[in-house]
Amino acid sequence: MRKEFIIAKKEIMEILQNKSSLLFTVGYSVFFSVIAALGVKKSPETIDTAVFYIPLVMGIFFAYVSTGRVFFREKRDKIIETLLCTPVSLRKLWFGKVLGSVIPSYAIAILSAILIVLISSILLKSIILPSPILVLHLLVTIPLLVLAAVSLMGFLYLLAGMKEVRIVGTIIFILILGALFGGLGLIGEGYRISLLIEIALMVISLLLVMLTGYLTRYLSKEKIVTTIT
Amino acid sequence: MVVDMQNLNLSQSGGKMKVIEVKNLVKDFGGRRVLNGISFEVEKGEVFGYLGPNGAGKTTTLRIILGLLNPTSGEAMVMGKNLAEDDEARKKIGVVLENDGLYEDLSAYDNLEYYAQLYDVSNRKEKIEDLLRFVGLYGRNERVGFFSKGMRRKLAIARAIINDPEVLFLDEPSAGLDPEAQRMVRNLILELSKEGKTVFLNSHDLDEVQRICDRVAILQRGRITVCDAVKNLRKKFSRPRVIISTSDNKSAERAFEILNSLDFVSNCEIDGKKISLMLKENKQSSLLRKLSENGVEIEEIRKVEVTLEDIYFKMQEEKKNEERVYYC
Repeated sequence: MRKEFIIAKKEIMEILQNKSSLLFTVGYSVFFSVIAALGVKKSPETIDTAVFYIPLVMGIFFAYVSTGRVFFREKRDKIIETLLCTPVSLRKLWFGKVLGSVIPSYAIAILSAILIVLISSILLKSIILPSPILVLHLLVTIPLLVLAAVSLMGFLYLLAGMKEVRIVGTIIFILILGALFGGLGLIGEGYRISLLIEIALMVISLLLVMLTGYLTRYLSKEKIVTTIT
Repeated sequence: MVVDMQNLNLSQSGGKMKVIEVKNLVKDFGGRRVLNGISFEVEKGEVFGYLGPNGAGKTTTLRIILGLLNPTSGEAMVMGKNLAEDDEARKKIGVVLENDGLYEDLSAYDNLEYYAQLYDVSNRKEKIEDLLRFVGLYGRNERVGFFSKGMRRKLAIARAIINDPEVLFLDEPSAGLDPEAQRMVRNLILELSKEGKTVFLNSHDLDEVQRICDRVAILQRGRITVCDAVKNLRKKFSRPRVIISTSDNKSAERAFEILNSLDFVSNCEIDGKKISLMLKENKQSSLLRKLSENGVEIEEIRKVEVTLEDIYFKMQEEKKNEERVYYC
């Protein structure tokens, strides 16, 4: 198995082992899905908006929680130093950790989408599905946005000093959600979830991922080790 | 285990293979020189102790050797390779740093399995079970978070040897452990040494180093002040320490007065009926004669072997004196 996948598998295993954080996130996901489904019951046309926002926010929220665990905790506990002595390159290590954080975050996003559709259908006593464009949103846009958030937060967690690192993740989390909602707000109140919006989000996410991938060239073991203490 | 000697890339000198070579290592941090021209070599199969007070530069040296820090100048090679540049070369080393590097939410088995996969270890299950038996943790299925410090340290050592490394780097392996756990860690290191592993031990535990190391280097303020075999150091610094027990306090006071006037006696200290002193030359018989001529009743006289601790503190003292002279 490739080293990146070994690292990702371990990260996912650890996230699953930590029942309290998992229950907390799943609980949030259920709570917001129920709230959204109650809204859909009142006006069924809001299903698209609910499936657009809730899984996206839940995915990025869990990305924020899991990167804190996968990157920050390993740096704080100095486990990263031992990992850097293994025969795994720094970029593979970073990418493995990114994957290990993206996969469960995306799973939470999909869980939220399924719950919204399921609970709304139960409440309306008929099957209600979002527009086909939301399939693209769930299958491509959300994983790309989560990947962008995780890779950027993970990179900054490794780069920043222990004093700054605590607020780095929160800033990125707020910035991404703020830019998303702010950007859509700028389009105007009457905007519709369209292919154009999905493509724009995909392009922004891809650019962010590429930028972070490029920036990892400047990440060094020395930088990580000297910012531990 | 069969070792492919051709692929090990060890440099040889006088029939001995050098596993670690550090040459003129200099490291500056923000304009402050932390390491100032460090050079030493460690031969295959040696247990090498790297000693020094906190802040002397021990961990910085270790981090440079491991490729975690880049030197300002100089080089550090392990089996002829620079670990910072060669990912594959790191397959031949094992590391226990100040932190155990263990995952608290995983079991001992899962921790070892993760590292075994990263090192491409074959026959993983068998190897992990053997190692868990070796360190006495077989059958412990709870999360590592519930382990005692000693158990964690044992597991960290097992993790460090999962890849059957040629060289083992240990940073303060028994720091913070109770005496029993310390002994256990020492025995583990000695056992690994018997198996032919080269061990680089970073420590400020003088007793531990004295018990298990073949050779030591003493680092002070970024410079190596001594680098030799423990037995050679003992010989070199063996001004015998002598303990004299007298019959009563009065005799002790009288003896103390006499001893202080002798030019071959130094560091004379009195504690009740006992006097401790250092002989500059091997003049034990002259000392006895002098005391008996003056009517001092001696109950017991014994020679105490010089310890690494004595040498270490003597070096510290000399360094301080040098600096005092320099600043004057």
